[in-house]
Amino acid sequence: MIKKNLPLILLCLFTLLGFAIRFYKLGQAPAGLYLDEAAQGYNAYSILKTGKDEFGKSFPIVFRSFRDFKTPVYIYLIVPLIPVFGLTPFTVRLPSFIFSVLTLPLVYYLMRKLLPKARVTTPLALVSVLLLAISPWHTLFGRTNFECNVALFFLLAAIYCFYVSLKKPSLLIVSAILFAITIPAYHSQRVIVPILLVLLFVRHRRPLLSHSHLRPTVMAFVVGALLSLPSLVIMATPGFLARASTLNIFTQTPSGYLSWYQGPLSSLINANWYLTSREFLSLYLSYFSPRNLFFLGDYGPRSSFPDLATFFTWQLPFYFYGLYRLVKEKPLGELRYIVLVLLLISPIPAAVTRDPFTTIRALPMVVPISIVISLGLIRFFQLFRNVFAKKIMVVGFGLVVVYSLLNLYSSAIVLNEYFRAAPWEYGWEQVITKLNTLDPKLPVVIDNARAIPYSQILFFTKYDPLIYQQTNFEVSPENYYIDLTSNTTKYIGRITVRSINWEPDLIKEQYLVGDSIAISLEQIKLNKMTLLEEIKYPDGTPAFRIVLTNPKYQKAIRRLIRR
Amino acid sequence: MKYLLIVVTFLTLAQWPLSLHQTNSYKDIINDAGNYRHSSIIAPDDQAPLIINTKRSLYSSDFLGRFFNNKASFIWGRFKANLFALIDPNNYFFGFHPREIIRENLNIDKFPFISLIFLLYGLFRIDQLKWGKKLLGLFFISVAILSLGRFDKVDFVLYPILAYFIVSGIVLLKREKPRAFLISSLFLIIFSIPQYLRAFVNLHS
Repeated sequence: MIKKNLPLILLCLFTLLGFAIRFYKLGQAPAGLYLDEAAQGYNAYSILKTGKDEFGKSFPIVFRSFRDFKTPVYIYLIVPLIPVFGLTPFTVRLPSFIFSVLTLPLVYYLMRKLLPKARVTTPLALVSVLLLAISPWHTLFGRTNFECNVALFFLLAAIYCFYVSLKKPSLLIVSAILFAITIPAYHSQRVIVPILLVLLFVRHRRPLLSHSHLRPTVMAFVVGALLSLPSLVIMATPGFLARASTLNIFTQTPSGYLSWYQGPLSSLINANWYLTSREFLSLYLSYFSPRNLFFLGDYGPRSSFPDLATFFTWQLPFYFYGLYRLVKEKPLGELRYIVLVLLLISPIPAAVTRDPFTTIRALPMVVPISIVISLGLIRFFQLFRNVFAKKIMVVGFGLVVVYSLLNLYSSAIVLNEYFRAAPWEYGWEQVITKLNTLDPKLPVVIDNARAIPYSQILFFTKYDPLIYQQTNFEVSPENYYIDLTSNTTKYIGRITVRSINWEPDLIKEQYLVGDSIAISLEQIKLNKMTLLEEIKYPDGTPAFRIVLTNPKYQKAIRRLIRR
Repeated sequence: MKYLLIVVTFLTLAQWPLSLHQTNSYKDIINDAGNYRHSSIIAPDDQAPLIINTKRSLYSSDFLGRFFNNKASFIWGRFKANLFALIDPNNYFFGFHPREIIRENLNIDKFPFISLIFLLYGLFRIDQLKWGKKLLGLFFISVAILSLGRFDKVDFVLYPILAYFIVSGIVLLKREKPRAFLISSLFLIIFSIPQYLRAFVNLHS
């Protein structure tokens, strides 16, 4: 009985492990709340309360956010969670967590579907789930508010339904709906999904165009196209295109351009076709680079953990061996095809942007690479015939998993909190808590010279979205997707978010909030202000200072100067 | 096809020696050879104890703090930095990411990037190569030894092994998939024109 159900028991155990890793201190670590997270949370709150986002746009198709557009799926997923869990960092990270955990059994069932031979697939699928559960790459995006994780779940679910529909044609429409949700779930899916759909259609054109499938295929196409239409229309708006053009490598001066060379061979030496192709291919290859995957990781402080890459170092030999086996082992059939396809197309959207290695945009790679490493591990294990050697290997693997978990804890919880507090914009919750204890009649100015903190202020004050929309008009609904200019001053009740203007601000009794550059200790001393609170990062350096101005002293000084 | 094979092989193999010559980097390799210890993974670092102690102090368990942050882990980190650079295809075909190339190091163009196709094919058909598995083993042993010092001072040692796999890939691709060989060769020749010209122009920069 136990032996029969062992795969299911192990799947539950590995999913539970993934659950525990992602749930531990969810909402507390990382301790800060990044502006995108706060903006998404507050916009969800605004939708819940008013049916409009912070700019007063009713149920947007993509959300205008700072000078960018945020994909809508994640924000709409937060909306029903707010009445249950409140507007907290936990709530805004919860959808990512839920879909990250759900991805684990989904990968198992997808692999089982792609390769029904249980003896071959079950161990491979189980090891893949285990590696994905402890993967630093997948864990990071499962603990924080990143839309890419939700998009990955819908992508895999859509692929799963597609393969089920080859036998049950009615599920083709479900698959189409899931693909249509994937496209607006994250920007990079706008590239991945169409390529994947073409490849799936070409490979399975015979069953899809057969008598039994033709009608569902046409219906699925129509449903998918209709559901995707709004997102595709938005993609053509000037605002959206402006953002896309600032990111991609094709509209920039290519890397390696020798501006000083104006000689007769300039058209060859600085040839755009050469430099751009080279840059694209190098970026593309960097997503397979062992140096990036197993050593450097993502360069972004919020998309990586300190001292930990996207995969563990011990997995490197199995990555190489797994890649070799994957290419060689044709009997892996449809599993081999999907792994190769996902592996090859996932880095494309990331490789057209200038950043060297962005794990957010290339997240779908985490699944095929985990499968590749698992394949390498299993095939290596099968090289040994001796039972004792096999037992030693299982024990060794268990120890390595324990080591990996400790390593993950060390980087994600201990070191990340200390070294990455500033990038996670730690401190705004403490600022609001302190402001709530101060005189409510006095106005507050929060400096925004080096940051855009208004979303965090709105989030932690849970400011009434209706009042905010009325007092902060920025763009008319018809220009929502076109005009990206934004107000630099925001009014949130008694709080004004703008740059501190010392001359007039000092002669008014009010609270000033800013970082250590905006409000230095020398300024406090010189202007005889009262330092009410200094919020510090975990490493002891000041994050924010809250001071009370001293207008009496200022007026006296100015009177003296005039005399 | 015979002449094409020669041209493709020449264009592939000439890039690295030419880059070393044109940038005078080979002189640095010779000059730094006597100073090897200072660029090795065991070179002293005044900051290391400070970093290790700061990190250790963050753990609630002293054992965990010491387990993940100690002198050995610091040296291991440097070893890994060299090792991963030496096994990274981007190092050999793109000088890492194009925006990552720094003037001070010797991370020069080594092989035309189109030649990556031949290397991959050579590795894919490793079973067909007489010395394939032995040389692959030798490559990894060499990498492990070379990782004891700064990778960009020593990676030229790996040139013969990489050249073997690339040339084998060229020969096998020509024999087994002539159409793919022809297309790859055409791309290689077209892309080599600006790449080789840049090697000469960079001399005057």
